[in-house]
Amino acid sequence: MPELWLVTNWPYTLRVVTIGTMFLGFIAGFLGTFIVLRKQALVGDALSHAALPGVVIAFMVTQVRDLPVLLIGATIASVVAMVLLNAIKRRTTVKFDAGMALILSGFFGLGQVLMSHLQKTGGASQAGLSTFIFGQAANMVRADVVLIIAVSLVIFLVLVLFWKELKLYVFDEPFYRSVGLSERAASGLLTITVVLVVVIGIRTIGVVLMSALLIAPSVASRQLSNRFMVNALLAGVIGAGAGAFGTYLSYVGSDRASLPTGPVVVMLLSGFVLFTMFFSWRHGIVKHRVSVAYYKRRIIKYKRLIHLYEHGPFSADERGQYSQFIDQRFATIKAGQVEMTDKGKQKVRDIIEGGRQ
Amino acid sequence: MEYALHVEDLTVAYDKQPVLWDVDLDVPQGVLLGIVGPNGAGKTTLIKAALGLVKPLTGSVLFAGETYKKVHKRIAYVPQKGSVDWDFPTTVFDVVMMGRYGHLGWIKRPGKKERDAVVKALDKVDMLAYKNRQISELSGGQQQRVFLARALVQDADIYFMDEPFQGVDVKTEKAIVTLLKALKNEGKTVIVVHHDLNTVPAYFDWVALLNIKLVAVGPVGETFTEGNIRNAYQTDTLMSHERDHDA
Amino acid sequence: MNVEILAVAVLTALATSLVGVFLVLRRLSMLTDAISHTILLGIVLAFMVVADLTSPFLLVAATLMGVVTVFLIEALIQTRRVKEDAAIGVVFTFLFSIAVIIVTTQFRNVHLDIDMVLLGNLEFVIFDRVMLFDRDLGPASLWVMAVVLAINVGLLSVFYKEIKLSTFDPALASVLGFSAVLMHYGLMTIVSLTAVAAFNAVGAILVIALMIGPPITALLFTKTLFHTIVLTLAIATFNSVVGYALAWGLDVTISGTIATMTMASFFSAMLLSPKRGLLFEAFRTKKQREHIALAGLLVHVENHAESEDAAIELNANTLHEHMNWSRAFCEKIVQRATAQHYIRLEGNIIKLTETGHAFYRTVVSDSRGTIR
Repeated sequence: MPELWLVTNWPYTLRVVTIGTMFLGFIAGFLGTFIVLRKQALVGDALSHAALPGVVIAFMVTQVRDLPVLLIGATIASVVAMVLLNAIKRRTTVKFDAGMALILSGFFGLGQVLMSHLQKTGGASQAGLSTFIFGQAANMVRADVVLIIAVSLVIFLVLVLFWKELKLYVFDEPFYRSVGLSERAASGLLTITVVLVVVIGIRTIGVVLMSALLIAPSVASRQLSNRFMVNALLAGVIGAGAGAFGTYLSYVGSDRASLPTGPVVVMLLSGFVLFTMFFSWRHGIVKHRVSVAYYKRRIIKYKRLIHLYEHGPFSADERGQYSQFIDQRFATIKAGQVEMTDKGKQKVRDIIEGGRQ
Repeated sequence: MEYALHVEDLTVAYDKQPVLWDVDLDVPQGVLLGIVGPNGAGKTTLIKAALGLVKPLTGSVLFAGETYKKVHKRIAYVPQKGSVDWDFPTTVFDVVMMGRYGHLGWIKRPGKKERDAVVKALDKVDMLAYKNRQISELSGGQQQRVFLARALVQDADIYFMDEPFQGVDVKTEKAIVTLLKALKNEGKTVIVVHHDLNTVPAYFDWVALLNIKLVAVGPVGETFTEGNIRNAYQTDTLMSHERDHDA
Repeated sequence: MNVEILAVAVLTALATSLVGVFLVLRRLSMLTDAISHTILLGIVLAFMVVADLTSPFLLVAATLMGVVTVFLIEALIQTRRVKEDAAIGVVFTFLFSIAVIIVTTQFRNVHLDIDMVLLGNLEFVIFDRVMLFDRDLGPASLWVMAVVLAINVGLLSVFYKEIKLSTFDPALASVLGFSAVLMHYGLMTIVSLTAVAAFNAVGAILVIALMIGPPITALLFTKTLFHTIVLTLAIATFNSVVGYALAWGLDVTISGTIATMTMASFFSAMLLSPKRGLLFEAFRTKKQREHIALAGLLVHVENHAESEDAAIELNANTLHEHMNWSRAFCEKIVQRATAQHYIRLEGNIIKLTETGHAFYRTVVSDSRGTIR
């Protein structure tokens, strides 16, 4: 389908879905920067799983499968999960990650129980709910996209409005509190926004992979820039790009086999992250490993010279150990002693300097 | 003479940051040595490198002329208190028993002999009354005593301790010092990472001043001089090259 | 009720929670989230090679993939470019999304249903049976879980001392000659194997509840590792039995009820445990506060008894202002102090009694002894 290279030739559905995933990717990446810096990257994972019982209950109560109704249910369940998680953290010695694991799977199990109950009692629309686990971007309608855009914009504005406070909060919480700002307000704001993003995301990306959308873009952007503002925006752009490109690929690919949008987006995104982690020109693992190896090799190679520099001069009887360096004019023999030349001293200083960047 | 600890040309770097730079250090048997230096001077790293917990870039470490692997049963180690999870479900007795594991080797279980050793060590640090307490119910000083008892049951020739006085009460600090001196008088070698310069002369008979490089080592009287201390605490010993050997 | 299903449920709960104790203590709980998802990729890749869903090769490949996941995550963390949780989030979503894409594009005709993988299906385990010489030896899952449980119990009891030490203090373990790396990967291998075996029955997400839930519940009560393990196994059994009964009674999915029970039993324990339970804690804090207030009152009286402002400071009617307490609370403490004969009233002025003096002295020397 060569004509699909042109956006104007895209079918209506593809355009709608792409806009939706783009906005979703942007806001998830942008917000994710905060929670990844707070070392709570997996909170999104726990909350998205915890939303399941809320969705099912919302459906049971209203018998409606509209997105807004299900989202309200999901939001309530996620908030309850977050409250319980905080209670565990504050009231017991259970470690945070263990509490998260429990909430994640416990709520999900509860959701599953409710779903199976629905199935048995003849809730025919159960199919619509199980897509929730992997999301189904293809079924997005215009109203869904409008909702995603609205929620994204509101969250974006709120985050920008409280930028300074939130930045301080994620960067240095004790200091943030010491200047009289409320810890509850900041953590509450971040929690609510994460819940909202997760909730609008699960219909599209699905419960299991939603966390990738929050985590991966900011990890990638962190490799590319050291400034927080740039990080957050870049993460948003990366998220949006992965959302759009992933949607496009899954649509084109679906010609031959049905490619699920969520996993395609996540594979692109996480793949991109792993790529930048390894090959980023700033902090890439490959570059880093190579330069560290070079640095260490030089120390090993010149360890006798360094020893002479630090502990010399030594008696000329030991010249045998230094003959190589004497040949290279890093060391010389003067008055029966092996000692450093100026060139040699410079060399050692260079070796040390190699590590300071 | 055979040194209890012989460190030669030891260089350790994390990534591209040297933490120890060409350190030569000889510690004779039967001394109580304090390693002092500013934060980030590599004090802990020196101990860890000696114990094989950190891989050095260059250099070697020998214990009484033997490599670490051959004599590890003769070496006791007291890590920083903060390095373990004190909420761990285990009792004081259990933790001290862990000191015997090295002698037991793989799979073998502790028996009566080990239990007796644990009771003796707990008694020495005045913690026998607490032997069935969960470790989370101890104060900082008591936690340190437990760690000390664990080192005592290792029945070693050389003891390494990382900041044993951190976060302990005055009474415990005094008790620990008394114990360390008793160990020394039994002919054991005790090497302690320490950060309080004021107490060095009172606590130790040998001192090593470290700041990435070894600035000086020797008996406290000769080595713990103003000049050496100043050299050790200047900000960038790595790049400066002035050393006054006999300051 | 079906005894075979119940047996599979209990065996699965025992095998998973046993290794879970060590995961929790090593703060690796969320690693189960990663492993339980990525083993799917192992299964998928192995299936592409052998094209047989019953091949034991699938188990091996899945277990390996779990270990590879741990390795990848740790490689990322070691670079210090990402924190642990972010590393987990990137690695497992990548591997899992690959698996999902392969399944949906390549295996549309094969019975490898993604929903099944995530949710599991205890109800169906009895249909896959082991037959030997035409004799029915019971469900395959029962055998698999029994073997895995035996492996876990065997390894953990043989290496109990080593794994305990390396979990509590990995540095000391290394110093004493027990390689912490070896112990770590050894443990991660059996965790992975256990997750693979369990996931067939209960699915990827509920494995997490089974592994983590009972240990953290037990830890609310216990003070030794051995007791933690015993109680963990008891709680795991309880959860699965009650969970199964509920599922049977309500006609809903078994794995779901077990996970729900796991969470419910944790929160009940959090409320009720005598050691750190919220109810007892609240009760104790109140008692403690009153005890401290009583001591504070005596100190206040003693300090001002001889001073010039005694008439103001020790006036029973305005005392609450000086102590900075609410009137009601102040009255309660004064009443208690009077009842215990620590103080008496002379007009409106509070005085210490002899008993009060004696108590004051113990309070003061006590606090000297306990202040750290």
